[in-house]
Amino acid sequence: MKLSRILSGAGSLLIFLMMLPNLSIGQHRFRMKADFSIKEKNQNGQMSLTMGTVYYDRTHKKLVYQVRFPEKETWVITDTIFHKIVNGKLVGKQFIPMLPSSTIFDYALSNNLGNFGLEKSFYKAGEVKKEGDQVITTWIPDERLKKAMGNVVISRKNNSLYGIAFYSPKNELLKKQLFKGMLKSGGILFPEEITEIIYPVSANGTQSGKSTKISTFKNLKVNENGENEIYNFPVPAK
Amino acid sequence: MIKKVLFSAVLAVACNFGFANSNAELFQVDEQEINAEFAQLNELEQFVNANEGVTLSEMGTDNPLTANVVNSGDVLGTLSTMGEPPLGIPSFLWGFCFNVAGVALVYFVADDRDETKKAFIGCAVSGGLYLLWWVFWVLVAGNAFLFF
Repeated sequence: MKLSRILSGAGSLLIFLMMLPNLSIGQHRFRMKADFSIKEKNQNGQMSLTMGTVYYDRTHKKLVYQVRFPEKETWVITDTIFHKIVNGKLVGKQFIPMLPSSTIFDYALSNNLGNFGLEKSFYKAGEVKKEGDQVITTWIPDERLKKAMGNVVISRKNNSLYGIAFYSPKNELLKKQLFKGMLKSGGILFPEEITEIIYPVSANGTQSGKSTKISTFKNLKVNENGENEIYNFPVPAK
Repeated sequence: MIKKVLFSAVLAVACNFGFANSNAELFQVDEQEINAEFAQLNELEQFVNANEGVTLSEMGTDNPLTANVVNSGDVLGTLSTMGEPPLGIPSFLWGFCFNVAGVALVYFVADDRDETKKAFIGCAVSGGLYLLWWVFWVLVAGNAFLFF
């Protein structure tokens, strides 16, 4: 009798252990939303402010921006196509060299933000240096892409993404981003503020001036139920 | 000889210091300068938060908060912080430019059936164009050559 109880308990434990991987799949993070604000000041002194809520769903592979300022409109990015929708009508459509799966939203949901998703890209980690409290890694593009892409340098502080710098194939600094504060929700970390400094390259190949952009996020929600009509926003034909 | 060794050592140390400084400074920004630059936009942001639903066109151009503020329409520029374009090269182009190697890269890295399909289409289009080029030069131009 006692033996059968022990065997039954061991069997239950074995079943529980076998189910663990499935339980962890249940914790899979597949969607997120956050209020955002993007402030820009370019080298000519012109400024812009964009505010709204961003929705991203890994299942639908859609990135949806419900913009409320400067004007009320919806931006939907699917694959490499950007759609602009105003009052339910498609008013603009253009190619955008950005896949929703190559954005910080996907990296955060898939726990790849620490290295800006470079681990799963055509870059490989090169030199790693510790400087003060920063661990700086230089990521090198695939040999066949070196003519088109430059190195990427990533700084991590306290095991979190702290900064990222993008270089041209000629090793000119094109832009750098600094990550400040981390929002926590549903087991993911997402930057509260990203400061981006862009060093534009003119047509004759020289660099002059800089543009600065500050993106802030708040009210992060992960795996939230409802609002399916926004997460999977149907793009109108016209 | 000793002078040369010493000179090389000093040069190497100097280079190392120079490199270390450049990397250490790379991720430093003057926060006070940035705060001063963005004072007007911060104020505008607070105004928009306090006045739910207000838009730039409703605020008008005579409002001091909107001086030099434009609705740029440069979505690519605005969203550049969220994702890096070089990493978002369309899968079609991977297949088109790098053929089977491109398809394999997309298959293993993206681990996505749809993206792999696009890379395969790119590879097929590239292959089709090559075939047309070959048909033209070998069959058409080659036969023409036989007439001479």
